[in-house]
Amino acid sequence: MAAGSAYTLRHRHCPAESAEGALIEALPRPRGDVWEIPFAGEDLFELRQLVSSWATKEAMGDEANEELVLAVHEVATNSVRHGGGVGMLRLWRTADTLVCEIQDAGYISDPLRARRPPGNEASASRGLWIAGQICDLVEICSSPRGSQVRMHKRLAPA
Amino acid sequence: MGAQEQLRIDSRREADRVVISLDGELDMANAPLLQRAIEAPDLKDTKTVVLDLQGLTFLDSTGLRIILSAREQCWRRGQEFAVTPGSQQVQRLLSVTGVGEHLRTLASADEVLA
Repeated sequence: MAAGSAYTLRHRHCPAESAEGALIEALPRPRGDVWEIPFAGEDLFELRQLVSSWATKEAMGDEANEELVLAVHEVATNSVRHGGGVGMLRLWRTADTLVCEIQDAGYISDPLRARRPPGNEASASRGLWIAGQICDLVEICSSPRGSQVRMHKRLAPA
Repeated sequence: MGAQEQLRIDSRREADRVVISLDGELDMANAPLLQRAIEAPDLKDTKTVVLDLQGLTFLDSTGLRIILSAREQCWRRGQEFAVTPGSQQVQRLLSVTGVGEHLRTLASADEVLA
């Protein structure tokens, strides 16, 4: 399991804002093809299937695939619950990594949410922390105008 | 696909225990179904509650939260609470979150608690 081994978390709390006040994506835009999928609460099941079949097509191993699906699902669930009910999923790959990004209107006020282990009480919020545990890298960019959570999962070396 | 089709919940009474079996995928959309099963009056006077996860293929933090609240409810009522192992994905989530260590796990729903 990749958990806890080599993951890093990068956090920027500094999105630029345009004159109109809209969020300018502060994480650098990827080069190449990006697949954009808007989603709402009723789409989570399909979203999981879509990420899974994409990762399978990109030859990601079963275990890593399941972890990526769970990470995306957790962050998307946060969008539905706290991020205005809807979000945008973006998928792309680099030479050796699959990247899934979720953008929504929510504000992640605790920049270290993905790093702090939640307690064992039932009410604890675990989504971002789980994503941080099972991805190789999670980048969070958030302001009161919106959030981007970018999850990186390495493909096994060929 | 509707939330009901993704998850099947069967609750059965066997002598002094209630076994709740989950089949399919548990997430935010159908979590209230499990919440309802756990709040059923049937569970009030039983000695043991077993949550059978054998047929569960996907579990997320919302589902985890309900499993933990079921455990807390049993605790308050002085009942035993146990689960059975789910799929790889379910077991991995339980281990990543550390929640698995705090759950009594039976090999199968047929195992009798000592």
